[in-house]
Amino acid sequence: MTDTLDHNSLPEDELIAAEYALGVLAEADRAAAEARMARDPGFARLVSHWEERLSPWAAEISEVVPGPQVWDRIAAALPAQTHSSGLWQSLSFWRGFGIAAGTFAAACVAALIYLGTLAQQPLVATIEGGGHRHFVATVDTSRGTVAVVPAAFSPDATRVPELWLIPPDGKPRPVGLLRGDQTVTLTLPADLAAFAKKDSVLAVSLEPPGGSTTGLPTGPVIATGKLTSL
Amino acid sequence: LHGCLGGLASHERAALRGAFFDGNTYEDLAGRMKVPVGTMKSWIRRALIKLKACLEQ
Repeated sequence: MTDTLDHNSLPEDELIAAEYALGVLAEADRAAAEARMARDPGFARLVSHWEERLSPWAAEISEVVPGPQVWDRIAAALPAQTHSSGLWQSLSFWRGFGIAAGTFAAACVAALIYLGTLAQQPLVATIEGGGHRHFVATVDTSRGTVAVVPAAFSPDATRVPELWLIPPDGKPRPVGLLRGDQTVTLTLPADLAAFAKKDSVLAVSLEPPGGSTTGLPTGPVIATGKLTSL
Repeated sequence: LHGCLGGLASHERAALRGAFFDGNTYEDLAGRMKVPVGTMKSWIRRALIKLKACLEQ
């Protein structure tokens, strides 16, 4: 690639879609883009293409060794198990593995692979947005619930984290409010449960207390993660 | 994506990362990197154009 690219070598629409996906627009422009996405499928597609282009970034995880409480939270968030002694034995095994591996993501995935063999296979998303704001979400498709464990989320004094489910159509649907200090289990509304499947994206935005009242994110989307089955 | 990011100028990369990971808007980024908002906008747009061209190669 040469450095002779014209500044205007993408159409304005596409640039706005990219800016929206990147989360760089000021609130008014962001709201305008969202209104446009709702009525203009072509524009909405441009946005989802950009979200896909940027999505590998969400897989970038700063290496964080999980504290023991993270494992307790994951275990508490998963559906009740009848094989509890086996579960705990295995958790300690995976805890050791995870710390040795040195990455939070590897550890979570390992634990969930094992747990997934006990219950109906859950869908998992690590919701990432850089160094200090991570959640891990587990969707129990049989119960229509999503359990969200805060891993390294730094609470904000004035805003609350809200979870969104983004199906392949690119339109965010509100799921519920999260907490930075404890696991939250949310029940997916029936019409939303159908969207909780592989390759849908979970996103977390910062919203005023009580959450967004518009049905769409009003604050910055600070973290995203794609649902994967294990 | 990672390979393509390597092809960006360091200020462009820093601006994109600040937007994506920290939820910064143009204004936030301009304040953080101490440049006018218009400059920040052209850095980001230029970076997005380069990124798309690279990803489509």
